[in-house]
Amino acid sequence: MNCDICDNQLDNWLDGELSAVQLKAFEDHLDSCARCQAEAKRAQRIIAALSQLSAPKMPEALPILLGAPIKKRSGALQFGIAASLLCLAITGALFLDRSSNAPFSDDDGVKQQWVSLTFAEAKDVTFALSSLSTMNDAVLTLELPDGVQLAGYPDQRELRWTASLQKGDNRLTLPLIANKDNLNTELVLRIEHSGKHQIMRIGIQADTHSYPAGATLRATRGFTA
Amino acid sequence: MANILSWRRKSRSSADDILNSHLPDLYRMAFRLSGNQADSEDLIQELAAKFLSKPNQLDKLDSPQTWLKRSLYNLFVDGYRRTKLQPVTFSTITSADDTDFTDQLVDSAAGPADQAQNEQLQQQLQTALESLPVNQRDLVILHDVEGMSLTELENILQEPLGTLKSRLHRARKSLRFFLVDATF
Ligand SMILES: [Zn+2]
Repeated sequence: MNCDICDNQLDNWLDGELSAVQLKAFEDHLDSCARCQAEAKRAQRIIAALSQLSAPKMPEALPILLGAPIKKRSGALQFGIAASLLCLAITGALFLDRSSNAPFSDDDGVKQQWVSLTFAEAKDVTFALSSLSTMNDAVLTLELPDGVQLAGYPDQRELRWTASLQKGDNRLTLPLIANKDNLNTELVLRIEHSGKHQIMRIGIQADTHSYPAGATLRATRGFTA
Repeated sequence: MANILSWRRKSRSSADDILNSHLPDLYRMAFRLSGNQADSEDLIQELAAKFLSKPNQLDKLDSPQTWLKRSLYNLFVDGYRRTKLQPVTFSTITSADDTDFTDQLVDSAAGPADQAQNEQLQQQLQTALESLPVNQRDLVILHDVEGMSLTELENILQEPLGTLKSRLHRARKSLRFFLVDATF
């Protein structure tokens, strides 16, 4: 067996679907090939960890709810940060969803969710935070990475403020400037409420990437903080 | 008339029984797909309404379980995923040290420190999962997390086995790639 065949059979091996003969050949190859062995072990550990991902038990009241009219419940602290893509507040947010035709996502590729900044030029970046319930006095913390500034506050690395989030869409628009070129970093937004928190990380690049046509709305010049 | 009513009641009750027997599994599947409790409950409610509205078609179902799972998945994809805003997720995971991700998998008899690490690990796995294209993510969730066989998934996802196999191959490869960089 060579490494390509080994790679092709890896999934069947993980799923226990190799015949005795195939299994012998597969394992013989692993014994003689450190690279495939390491890959197979890694794969096995990841599959094992996946099968142990926790999920909550069904709420006991659920069967009772089934007869009730369908309504959207509130109360759970559930954020989706609906979009992190750049846009001008005036032009409206460019939303990214997880449907198959989402921008930046090709079917077999890796999803890229980045904000693209232009070196030394302020750009409004809008985040849409979608909350399932109203949250009064949520604490938002924004950590700016090296090389990214909030326009008008060049020395501020971390911002923390309290905000009340409405049920549904909440928008947060930040004027960001990249003060380094070839930037490839991330911005961290942390939201805390009622002892729970959610962290969102948004990749930031400056000026080096071209995106697929139509996927990005370019900000215009001349933002003033 | 009385006969019809009592027959209906009987059908309804057997539909209830069938539904209830599958409910824990369905709820977990809904939770895996949607990622949160409120939406899982909404999905299950919609599914139940759909299922219970057709008690007299129950006999025609080859397997209620497959029907339920397929319908749940379709509800998720067609209704829920298209209309709900989804969390932004990221394919880049960064960290300070160079430890191999898989070396940090801990067994279930872990102490508190290990447990914290385990939570971090679960988070990493979730992040990696969310970084996959949606149809790869769904497949890994249903197959590797939920343990449904590919043959079963042929019926639930309504796609040929060969397609599922190659998709799974790509998905697992991507996960290994994400997680090899995912040092923490
Ligand atoms: Zn090899």
